[in-house]
Amino acid sequence: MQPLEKIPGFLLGGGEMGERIRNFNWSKTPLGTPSSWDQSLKTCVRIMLTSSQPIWIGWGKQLIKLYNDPYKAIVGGKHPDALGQPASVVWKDIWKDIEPMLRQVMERDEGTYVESQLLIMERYGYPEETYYTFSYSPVPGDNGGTAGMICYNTADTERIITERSLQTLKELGTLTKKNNLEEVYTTAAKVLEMNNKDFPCAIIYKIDEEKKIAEAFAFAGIDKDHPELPKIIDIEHPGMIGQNLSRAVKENKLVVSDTLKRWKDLPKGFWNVMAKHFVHVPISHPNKKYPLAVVSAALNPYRKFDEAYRNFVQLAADQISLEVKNVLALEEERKRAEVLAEIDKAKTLFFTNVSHEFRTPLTLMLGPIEEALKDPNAVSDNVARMNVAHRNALRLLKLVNTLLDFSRIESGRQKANFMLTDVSSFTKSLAANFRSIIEKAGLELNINAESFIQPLYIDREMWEKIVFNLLSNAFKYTIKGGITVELSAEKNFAVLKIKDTGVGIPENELPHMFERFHRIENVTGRTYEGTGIGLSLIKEFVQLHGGSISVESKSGVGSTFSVTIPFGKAHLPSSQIKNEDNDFADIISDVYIEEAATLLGNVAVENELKGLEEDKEFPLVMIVDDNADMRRHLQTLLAGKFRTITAHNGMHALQQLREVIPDLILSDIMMPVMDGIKLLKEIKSNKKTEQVPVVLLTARAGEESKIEGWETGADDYLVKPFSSKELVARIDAQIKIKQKRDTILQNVYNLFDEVPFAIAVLKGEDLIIEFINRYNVGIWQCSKEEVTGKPLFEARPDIRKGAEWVHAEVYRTGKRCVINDLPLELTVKGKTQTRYFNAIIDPQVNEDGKIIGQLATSIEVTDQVLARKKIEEANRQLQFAATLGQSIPDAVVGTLPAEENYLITTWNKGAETTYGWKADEAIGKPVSAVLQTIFRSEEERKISEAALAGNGYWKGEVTQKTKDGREIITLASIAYIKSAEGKILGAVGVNRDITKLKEAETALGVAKEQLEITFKNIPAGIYQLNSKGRLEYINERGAALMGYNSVEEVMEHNMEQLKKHVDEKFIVLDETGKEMTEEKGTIYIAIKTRKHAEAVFQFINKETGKSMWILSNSTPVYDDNGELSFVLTIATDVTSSKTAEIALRESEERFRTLAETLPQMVWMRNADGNIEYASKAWEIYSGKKDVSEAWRTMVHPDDWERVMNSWEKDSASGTSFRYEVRLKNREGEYRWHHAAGEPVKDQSGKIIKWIGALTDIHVQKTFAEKLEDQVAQRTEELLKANKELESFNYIASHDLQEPLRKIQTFIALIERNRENNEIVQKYFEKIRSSAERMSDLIRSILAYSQLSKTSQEYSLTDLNQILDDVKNDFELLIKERDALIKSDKLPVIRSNPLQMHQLFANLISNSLKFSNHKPEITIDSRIITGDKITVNGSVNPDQKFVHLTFADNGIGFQPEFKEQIFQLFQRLHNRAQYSGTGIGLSIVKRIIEQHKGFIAADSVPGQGAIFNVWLPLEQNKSYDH
Amino acid sequence: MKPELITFLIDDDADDQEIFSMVLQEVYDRAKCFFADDGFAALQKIKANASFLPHLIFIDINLPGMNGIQCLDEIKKIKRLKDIPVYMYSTSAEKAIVNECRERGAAGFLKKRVYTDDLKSDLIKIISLLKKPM
Repeated sequence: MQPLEKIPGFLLGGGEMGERIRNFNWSKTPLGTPSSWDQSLKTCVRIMLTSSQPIWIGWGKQLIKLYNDPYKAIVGGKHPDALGQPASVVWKDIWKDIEPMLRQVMERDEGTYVESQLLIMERYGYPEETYYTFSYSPVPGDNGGTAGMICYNTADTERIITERSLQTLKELGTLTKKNNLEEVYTTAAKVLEMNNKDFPCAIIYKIDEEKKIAEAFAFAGIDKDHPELPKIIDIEHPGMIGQNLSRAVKENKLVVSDTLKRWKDLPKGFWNVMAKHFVHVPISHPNKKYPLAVVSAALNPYRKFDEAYRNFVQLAADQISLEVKNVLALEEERKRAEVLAEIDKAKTLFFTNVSHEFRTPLTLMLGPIEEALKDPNAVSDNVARMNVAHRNALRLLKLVNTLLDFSRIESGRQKANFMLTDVSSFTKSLAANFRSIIEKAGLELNINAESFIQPLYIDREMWEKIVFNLLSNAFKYTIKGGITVELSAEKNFAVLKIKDTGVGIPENELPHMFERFHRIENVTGRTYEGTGIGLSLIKEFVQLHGGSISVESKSGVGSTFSVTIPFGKAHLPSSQIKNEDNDFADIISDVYIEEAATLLGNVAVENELKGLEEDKEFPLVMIVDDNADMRRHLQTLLAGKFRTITAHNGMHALQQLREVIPDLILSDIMMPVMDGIKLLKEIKSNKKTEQVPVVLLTARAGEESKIEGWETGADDYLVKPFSSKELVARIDAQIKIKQKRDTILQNVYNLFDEVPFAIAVLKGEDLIIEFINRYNVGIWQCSKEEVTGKPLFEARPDIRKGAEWVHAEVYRTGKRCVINDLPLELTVKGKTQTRYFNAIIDPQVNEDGKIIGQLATSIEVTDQVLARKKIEEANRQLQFAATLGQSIPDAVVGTLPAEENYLITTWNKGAETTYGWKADEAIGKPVSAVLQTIFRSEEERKISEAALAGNGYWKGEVTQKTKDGREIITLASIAYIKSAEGKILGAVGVNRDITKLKEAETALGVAKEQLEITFKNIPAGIYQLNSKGRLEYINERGAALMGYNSVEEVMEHNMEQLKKHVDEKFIVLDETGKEMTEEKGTIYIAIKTRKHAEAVFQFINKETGKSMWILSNSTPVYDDNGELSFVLTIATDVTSSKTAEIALRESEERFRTLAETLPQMVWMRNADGNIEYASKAWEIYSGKKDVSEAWRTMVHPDDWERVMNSWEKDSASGTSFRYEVRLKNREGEYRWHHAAGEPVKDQSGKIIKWIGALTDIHVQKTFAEKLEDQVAQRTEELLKANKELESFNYIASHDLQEPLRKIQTFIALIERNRENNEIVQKYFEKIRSSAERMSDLIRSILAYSQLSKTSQEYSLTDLNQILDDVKNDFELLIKERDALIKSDKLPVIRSNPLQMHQLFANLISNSLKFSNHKPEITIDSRIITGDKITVNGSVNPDQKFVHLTFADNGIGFQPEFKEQIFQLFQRLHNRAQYSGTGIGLSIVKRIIEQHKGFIAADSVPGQGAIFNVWLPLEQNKSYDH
Repeated sequence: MKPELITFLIDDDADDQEIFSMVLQEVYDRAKCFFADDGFAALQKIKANASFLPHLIFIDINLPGMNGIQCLDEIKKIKRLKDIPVYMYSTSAEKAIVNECRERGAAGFLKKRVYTDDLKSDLIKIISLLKKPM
């Protein structure tokens, strides 16, 4: 090393390069020795060496290179050889790029400036993509002219590459809301293509998990027909070409592979050379083993595939995965919606079919009954019976009609026919139909209908249903007052209001009034009949008119329903507006009015207490049912074995129960005012009636399970219909059980009263006291009557605190609970005492294993417990001391009190170590025999003895002797232990051996010297200033740092002198670059705050310009009196780490600027996990400034543990992490985020930071979650519907057929025995009961509102075969009618064969039916295209259809009926002439519509009819199975 | 004189008992019909009187407590009745149930009909199948 004094000033300092330049043999270069250099070169070199910016200088013709420390990174691997070399040699690889610029500088004396120049440099043995911003400035030589140049550099590589990566990620992040995977992949490829530097080319392969192949799908920077590109890769047998991709798929992770071996012509992207490596990144899906796709991308040939590059590729893949998941969720949802729509359609079809099935037999029943009623010879008793049958049949018919209307609307088949109508007079006449019935009920009917000038179009049939429905509703729920019908014009609307003064609707029910199957529970009215779909049906009707319906109501005052319909016809579909005014049948009105009329008859009074006077031997049964027919029926069934009383609803029953307690109550569930369930609750919660067995009757399917699960405990239930035997048997059994139970219970209770411990029998969750025995009465000091029937803790609130948990435990575990010494705060006669009990609580379980009560037995043990407690307390404190003693290192010695001779009871390990006596040697001996204490003064002895005697606490230093006679100094303390009563229990001494400590104090002086030697050697400046500010100690390093040459020079300086010296030598700046003042000095702060102070300062040498960062630590040291004795300051040179820190901060600053532009919440944590930086998105999202504090409150509590675990695990292992977490935003809403974090490592691989981002994925995530929920819910609904349908099928095939068959049989028998009035009467009675049974069945079926999917299966169907089958079916009829069916060869089409069979059968039977003479039916077929079809409807003109014609020679029909014959129940002929249900042709139409075909009919009356049917030759494949 | 025909109908429905008895009378005037409301009553009746030996037994399938098929099993266990033809008598003639009854030893299946004439012709057929001359 050169001696310092010989170094020229301009070469001083400069770190490594300074030294290298000083040591370089310049004489061998054109520059010559430094002393001979031009002054300008010297100045440049001085600038270069003192600058922290990368700088190089080129001098002379050859541009001999000089550079500084910061520039080393740029020369990279060429350092240090580049020094003194010509620039053309050093920058051989980029010479062509920079030579022209250098020439410009040197030859033309012009500076250049280049920003972010891409230079492919080979610094570390491989060509590397680098970016620099640099300027070349000419420097004149001493002899004039340009002698050299100086170049200032800024390295931009990292920033450019980071910005580019972020740009790609940002664009991938905006790929949201693509419709399908294909679009996501294509768009993702486009984004990748835009970054052709990092992805010279890329292919997205779709993975087919089933076929196990990968198919090239989207392409970035590579032609899809590139000859070398493998389009399909077999994952199982990939061969050489696809093996790496296959590995990425199978292992579902990123795989890097070489490219060179097989690609001859790989697209190069931005670069001029081919990529050397490929990367295969899987696009994974959490639920799948294989990824959905793989991105195979060529890698940047000029970039090392390091951690950052790998992370970037992975993040890009993650971003694509996110979108893929989103799209998959959407697709799933779409499929689900299609399935649901199918099911809905099937449900409607089912409803329609069921309703048809019901209507036919009903019509069959009504006909004969009406005829019989009209018979003048009928016996009056029979007329009454038939009236019952008639009434119920009518009710049923109305239900079925409503159901039919409903399903017609559902299927969209209900097409309104709007006609210009004088609504005012029409409504008046409709309402007038109700007048007589309303007035008969003692109500008033007011009709105020204005006439309108504006035209109003309505479907009259619907309007009629609207008016009648609302009127009959009003009538049902109005007992007094009146009903008002108002029709008025309001602006552009006609408004119909139907007001009543009825019971009204509870407010909470109003929003649900128009929902399907919604019914209001517990309402007083004339009846509780109703389907729950009437109002929803008229709502549909009103909506078809483009209008709206609403209701206002006040409970007890009345309700008003308002229907609003717009005037004119602009809002109506023009195809449905009809001009001709044809009449329509007025059948429905009869049904509504007749039904209303039957309600009036219900008020009949009956003998409700009938049977009370009969034989008192018989048990008394109370029958509760709102239906008078049913009450009478039940009375008849029970007569002879039971006495009966009746009540017509729950409330009425409760009134009667105040006077009579029956032996059993038999109650219906559905009743007005108060239903059966509520009644049951009332009965069971009343002490007086709770023991009365209650048997419920139910008609509604589904109620059964409701009752089974019922907690209040119906004793039994019966499902209607039931046999009389079953009813009697069940009632009998219940009554007997009750009687037996009563007797047994009484016996047990008598026994309980005799036992010598407390017993309480408790019932139900509320622990109602059913019984307490005599002993318990003695404890509680109260009478049995005071407490029985009350909940336990209401009767005895005092024991709640002590006993509640025990009872709860028994309910929770269902097991016996045994508690000893249970303390209870018992208040007896106003005095509260703690008493103790040994208690055993047993659960009482019913037959189903359900806990219905508890049996509590207990014995008082207060005396025993108190005695034991006293002993325990005395022991506890000494024990505590002993336990404590074992765990501390000090000697703990426990002794008994003076009267016990201070016998040692405790001698811990610490005592053994301190004194040398073992515990077994010491314990049991008097303390004086073991421990010899030498008190320093008499006074000391006295105080310690006083303490021992129990006068408190003492602490002091004493000298004691150990077992081996050694004297030790102990810090001894003695404390007395007293019992709660103040009695001395013993003493505890805690003695610490402080002998060593004392010795150490003496040794302190020696240690100080040692310290100084240490100080001298440590590489930091040490300064000790005394309280006067005088420097007491400084080490050599300390002197050097302050610019002194030796320690001696500075010794004895005071603060002022020091400061002056420093100011002369340095410019001192604080960390923020501001001038240093006295107050900022750490010594100043340390003295002022009396605390350690720390700060960093920058010292700039005024002479050399060299900058130095000093970390200064000052610690004030105080003496025992709290006076400052000195301040110790340690100064460390932190220049190198500080420079690195500044560089890091700058790069972070750039990172932050970028991060702020991202929508994600970006964060940076230090290695300890503390948040150092959070982008503005955080504050915007959370509304909080301090993220590290906000984080804790932002994370959803359910996610906290998982997230923290994940963070701990990942930060320990140093791997990047991904997880999903819910974060609360400023509105308090939790949103799902995808969190990703990457470690940033220093060169040694140590993690210095974590950087990460949180992306809002709430929409995708919740969408998927919601979807899952919905799917689960739907599945459940479907399963339920399926189950219900199965049971319905059973009912339909068995139970419904039974009464129908019987009705038919009896009608036939009546016909056979017309003359015998007695037999006729008998059979009518049987018809009535069968009909009633059926009515019950149907009502329960109405509850089945959900249906399962019926499958729609298509197959190739040979229509010739179908026709043959149908001919076989009709063989008899064809023979009988002498009919002829002609057909040529029919085609084979894709259709549902069963439905085709029905279609042919219906059309042929139709033709056979409607003929007078020999029927002749001709069936023709041909294949046509869609454009030949002659009916309206959207049809693809090129689609192929089969056109079938069915022509007959029958009676035909008027052409104006050609549309209407396909409507349901449309009959053109009277029943006596031609039989027909009016359903056959509508079924035909429905079948054809389901097959997406068309039908039309034509006829000339008397000359036959032709039915044209067009069916598609092929059905849509998606329906195929 | 024609021999007496003793039949035993197990059916909980009184109407069906009546119709059955009425039609049987029309078919065979020397027929005598015994009834039981359910399986238990039927077995009691059979066991209580060892001389009770009907020529034909009819069982409804939908019976309370013990269904018709279980009842059939019980009757088939009684030795003296093992050769007596037992016919199931029910509203619906689901194939699966019909087959099950046959496997368990029922002689046949008689569907409850709407028209008494149909029942009549069914009964005529059944009676004509009886081996023993009456």
